[in-house]
Amino acid sequence: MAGLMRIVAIVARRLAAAVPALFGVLVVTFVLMRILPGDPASLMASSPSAGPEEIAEIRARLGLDGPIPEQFLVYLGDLAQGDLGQSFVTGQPVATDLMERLPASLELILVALIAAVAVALPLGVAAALRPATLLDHGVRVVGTLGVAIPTFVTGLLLIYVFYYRLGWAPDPTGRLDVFLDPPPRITGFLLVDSLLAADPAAFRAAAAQLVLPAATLALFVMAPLVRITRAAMLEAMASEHVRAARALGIGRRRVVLVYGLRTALVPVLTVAGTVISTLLGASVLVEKVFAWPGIASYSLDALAAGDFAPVQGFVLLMALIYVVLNLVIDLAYRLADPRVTLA
Amino acid sequence: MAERLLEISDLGVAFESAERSVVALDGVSLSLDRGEILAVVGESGAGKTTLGAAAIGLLAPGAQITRGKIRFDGEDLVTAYDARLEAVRGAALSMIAQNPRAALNPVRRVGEGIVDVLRAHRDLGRAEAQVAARALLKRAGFPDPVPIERAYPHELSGGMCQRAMIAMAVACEPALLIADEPTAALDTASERAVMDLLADLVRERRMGLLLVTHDLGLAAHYADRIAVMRVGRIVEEGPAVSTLARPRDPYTRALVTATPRAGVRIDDLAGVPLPSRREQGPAIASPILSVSRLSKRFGQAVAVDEVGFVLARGESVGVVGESGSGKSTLARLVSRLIDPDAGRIMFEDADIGAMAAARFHAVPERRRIQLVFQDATGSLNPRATAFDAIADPLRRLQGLRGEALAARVRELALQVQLAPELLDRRAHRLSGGQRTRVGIARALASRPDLLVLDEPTTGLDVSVQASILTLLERLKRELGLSCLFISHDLAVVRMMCDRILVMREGRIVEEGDTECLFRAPREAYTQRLVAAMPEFGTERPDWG
Repeated sequence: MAGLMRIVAIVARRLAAAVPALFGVLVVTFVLMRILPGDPASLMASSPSAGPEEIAEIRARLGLDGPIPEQFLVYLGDLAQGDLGQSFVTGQPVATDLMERLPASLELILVALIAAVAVALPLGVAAALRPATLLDHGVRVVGTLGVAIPTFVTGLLLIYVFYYRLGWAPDPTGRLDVFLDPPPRITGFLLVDSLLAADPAAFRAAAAQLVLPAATLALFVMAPLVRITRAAMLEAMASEHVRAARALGIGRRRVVLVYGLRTALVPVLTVAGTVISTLLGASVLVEKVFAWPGIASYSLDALAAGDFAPVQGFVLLMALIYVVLNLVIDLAYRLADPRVTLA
Repeated sequence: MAERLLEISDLGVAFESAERSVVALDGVSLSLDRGEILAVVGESGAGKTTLGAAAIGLLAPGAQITRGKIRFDGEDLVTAYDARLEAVRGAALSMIAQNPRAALNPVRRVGEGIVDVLRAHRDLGRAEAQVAARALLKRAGFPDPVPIERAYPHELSGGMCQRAMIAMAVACEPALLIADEPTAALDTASERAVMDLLADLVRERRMGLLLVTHDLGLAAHYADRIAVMRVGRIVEEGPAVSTLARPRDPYTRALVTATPRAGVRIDDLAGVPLPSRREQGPAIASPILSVSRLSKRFGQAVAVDEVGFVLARGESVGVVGESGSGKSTLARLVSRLIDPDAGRIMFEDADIGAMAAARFHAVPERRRIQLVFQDATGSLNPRATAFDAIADPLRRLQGLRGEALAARVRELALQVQLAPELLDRRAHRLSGGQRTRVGIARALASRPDLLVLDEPTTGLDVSVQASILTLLERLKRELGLSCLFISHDLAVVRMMCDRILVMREGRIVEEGDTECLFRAPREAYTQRLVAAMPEFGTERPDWG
């Protein structure tokens, strides 16, 4: 009970400590959006030849006519009420747009992460147990290729092979076959919702759509995961406690998993944290390539259209996700290694 | 069940690498019976650890058995398959390692580790194994095993970790236990507890114990027989007490001579006459250092608690105590590396305790108080050569440059008997003894008046320790140094110091002239420390 209270206190303290950073992110994005070339008012005007009066009128309607500090204060006031502003492009509140698309992005990233870890951990362990063998070198080559080739190239390559040539993968656009009815929205995660709706056809279809984009992302981040798993595992297997465990006749499997891998997890977690950040960034291109209706492609479109509010909302959401992510990783450290103390 | 448990005959082990092959064991033969303790002693590089590792089939990577046999309970282990070795290890043949904290899985509770071993060899359910683990911890000297069982290794002291490790090692009642320096990382009191536990287990279960150690005192007290190793060979073997009392082999004799123990003076250790001690003036009149009511706490923990003492000019005062007693903190306070929370440190007439440690390098007294660090390796910059290490204080404190600097460094190297050609080497290419010499030369560089020595010979082989101690004594006498000598090793302090301070939990519990204190310790704590000192050779071991 006391332990739980302590964890709650730590989480609260960490979140409070993140507020200045989030504020900094707000300021930078806000200013950056306004000094970048491109004027939303002229883009929104009825025709390219619209007169200056019309543009000034639109500008006033959008609240873009005051000085930047004043605009910022207005923005902060709106934020305090949970209002992220309106998107010019979709005509919807940004919060609504983001919440609608966030599950798509998270589903993609989480599946990619799980796939990357599920492949990287065994490969890293196997490479560490047989260093300098063909397996070890092969793992390294594949990992390096994955990180060296840009994600959009990998994505297009996968589409070419598995959709165009082999025809194994479904049409690589969107989250679900257009002819299928989506399951009723509960969590927004199609895999989860289709299971909740007991709709195996939708689940299969959603999973099939996910395979290629998730694989593209997973390939991109596998290399660092494999490399750190291999290094940490090599060190763990050479450590004194592994030697002691062997001297006491504890079985090979148990030595590798409980005495080796279990103690090698902390560095792997560290890298997993940075890998998730990489995934968030890399998903922008992957969502584009696969026409994935996520927040990354949404904000990219908004950026191109000079649509301020969605970009600001997106950056703020990303910053929040990073804060929570770091917290989760730190708490996971504590689980992985009892010697870690949280401050 | 045959009496003969372990029979090693003509064993050869070599470390093979692409470039060369280094012989670690060169025809070692020995045997061990049930209920017997055999100590394998020797200095580093003798191959004693390799011998222990070979006996349990866990040689370091690259090491190969080149010839000979290892028979355990009649079975040849050299040709045994891995699966067979896995079944034997922990069940019939077990091992405890030097550094207990590193040998326990850091992310696994102590109880879980014991359960792992039990379930690896016996058909036990988790709950049954837990009950057995608890009983084992109780046997290992934890009257209340539940908190220990739930603890992670980092939450326990080194001694507790080692006893937990022993509980793991003997969980399946092995017939033979190999203990590689089981107490090297422990202080005196824990050492006694661990060794007594091992000795009791040997007696109770008629186990065989192969005790690998560099400590002749430990071997003399606990072992039935002793085998002395030197560069891969056994040079002498026999009953422990008589072998050490009347060594036949010259190497054994040299080892015995170099080991500090009761009744041996520093002049005996040297083998050559040391310069006679300088006659001191009226020393008491002006102490070089006087410390009063000195305190230091780290967070909640009180490291040094109202300590006061006086160090006369030319005097050597020893500070003894177990780990955690505050000795090293005291050394760092006096040498002004950290700031005290309260109290005074007077160096002659200067109140150096009032000067901030962060600014102390700019004060003239910095030159006059120098420290020799405990960890000779860690306290040398790995990127600096021995020359740079010694030259650094000369450049900074005395502004020496060029030829004058080089000449002074060479003079210092000569003073600490460090071969001049070693001056170009970095720390990793020097031996432990050579690093210690560099550390001493660096401390002497600024011609200090007070030398604070924090465990200067920890981790050194006895022969190297003997030469370092002799060197220190010679320097002390030649240069008229005053010394504060921190050590957990009472035998060393007894030889080196005029007076002794006994510390416990941050306080000085007893203080007195060396001989009085050792002959008639007043405090129960001091009596325990003194009783735990190794005595062997000419005298009959009568402690325990």
